[in-house]
Amino acid sequence: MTRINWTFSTLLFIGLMISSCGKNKSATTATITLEEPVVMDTIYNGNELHIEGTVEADGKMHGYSISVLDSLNGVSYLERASDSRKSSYAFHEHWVNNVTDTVHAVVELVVHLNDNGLKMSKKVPVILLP
Amino acid sequence: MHKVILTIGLLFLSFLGNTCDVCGGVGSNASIGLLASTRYQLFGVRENFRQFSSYMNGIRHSNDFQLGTELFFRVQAHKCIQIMGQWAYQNNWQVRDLSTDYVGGIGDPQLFLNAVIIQKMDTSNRMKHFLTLGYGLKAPVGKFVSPDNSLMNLHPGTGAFDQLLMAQYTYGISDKWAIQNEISYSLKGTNKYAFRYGNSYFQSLMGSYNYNLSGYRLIAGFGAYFEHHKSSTLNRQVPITGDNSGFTFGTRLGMNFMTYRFLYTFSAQIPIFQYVNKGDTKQQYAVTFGINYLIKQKQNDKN
Repeated sequence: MTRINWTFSTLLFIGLMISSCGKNKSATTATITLEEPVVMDTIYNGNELHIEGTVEADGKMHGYSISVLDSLNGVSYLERASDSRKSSYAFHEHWVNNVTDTVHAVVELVVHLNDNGLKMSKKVPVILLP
Repeated sequence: MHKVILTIGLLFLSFLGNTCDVCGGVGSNASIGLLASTRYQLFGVRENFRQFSSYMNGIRHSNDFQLGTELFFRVQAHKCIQIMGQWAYQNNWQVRDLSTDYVGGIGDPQLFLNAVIIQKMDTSNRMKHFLTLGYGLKAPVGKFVSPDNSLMNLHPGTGAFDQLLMAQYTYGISDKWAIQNEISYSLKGTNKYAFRYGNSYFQSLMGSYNYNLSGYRLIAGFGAYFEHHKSSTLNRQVPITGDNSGFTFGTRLGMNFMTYRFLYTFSAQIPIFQYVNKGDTKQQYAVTFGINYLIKQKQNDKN
């Protein structure tokens, strides 16, 4: 009887370990869908730039960030990041255009697939008008 | 006296019906038990807490939390006419992975006029049939913004006059038990941005039971509700973001404790099944706590 109990407990433990490992497996790849903005969207001063989309991966991701950068000099207009660990993200951020000169900007989404620095990203160029 | 208590209790059992249009700080159907037969006047404060979640392709991207502090009053303008009003200060948050937004401010005040149409007693002078009809008006005092603003639904005002038509019927089963059916329809106005929230329908069915606790009263109720709202429109057209109409079915419960001068209320509303905004918006729950001061009328006033 004792042997049966030990066998059952061991199998249960192994099963839980496998199940647990599977759930916590880091992502190796992800599908990034950026619904907004679209390439060369033009945003007028005072209007909102919407950054909206989803990321779905084959395991747990280790966070993501979005930024709006001047594509010429790298000046940042918006930087937001999350270290949330999930296998899917949905985001809908907004930023009100306040530039005083025309800016060729790029909206960049960076996804951290694991803690070893594996990343995926997507960039969409937009125009910010004064 | 028990008749008074019963009706007072039912009044507050039904007060939780404020629901958002889609997902915002804007009340649509104010579900109010229009129990004008009591001679009590009262005023009070209520705390409303509600949560909604928004999804994109089935993945949650935000949680919306609404905390409203509401002042409420009721006066007896005539034997069969009540006037009620409420005005809330809203604190609303949208919490996302990447950031949190807050919008707070005074909401739109609402005024209701309720008339008792039928009030029939049985042979032992217990309330048997009780029917009221009501009309409400919401004034655009609260802060509102253009539909171009992503946080429009988080703002406490709609920018438009809204009208409310209400009907309430209560059937007294016994000294202790009663059933209440309530229907309301909200007619939404158009604001200066040509934006209009969709008209909404609300119905609830509640059973209640009241206990005598050492001279105090505890009134408990349980029931179900259904609501439906049409899509919002911009320039009389469904916006490019799509049809956001939907319906919700759920349970409601309430606990009311009445002392000589005060009425303490608690109520909750929990959705069971819903389909709103193509499934992209989900109402999680709503909870209300309240404390009300009862002002008793002259003894020679008839109930």
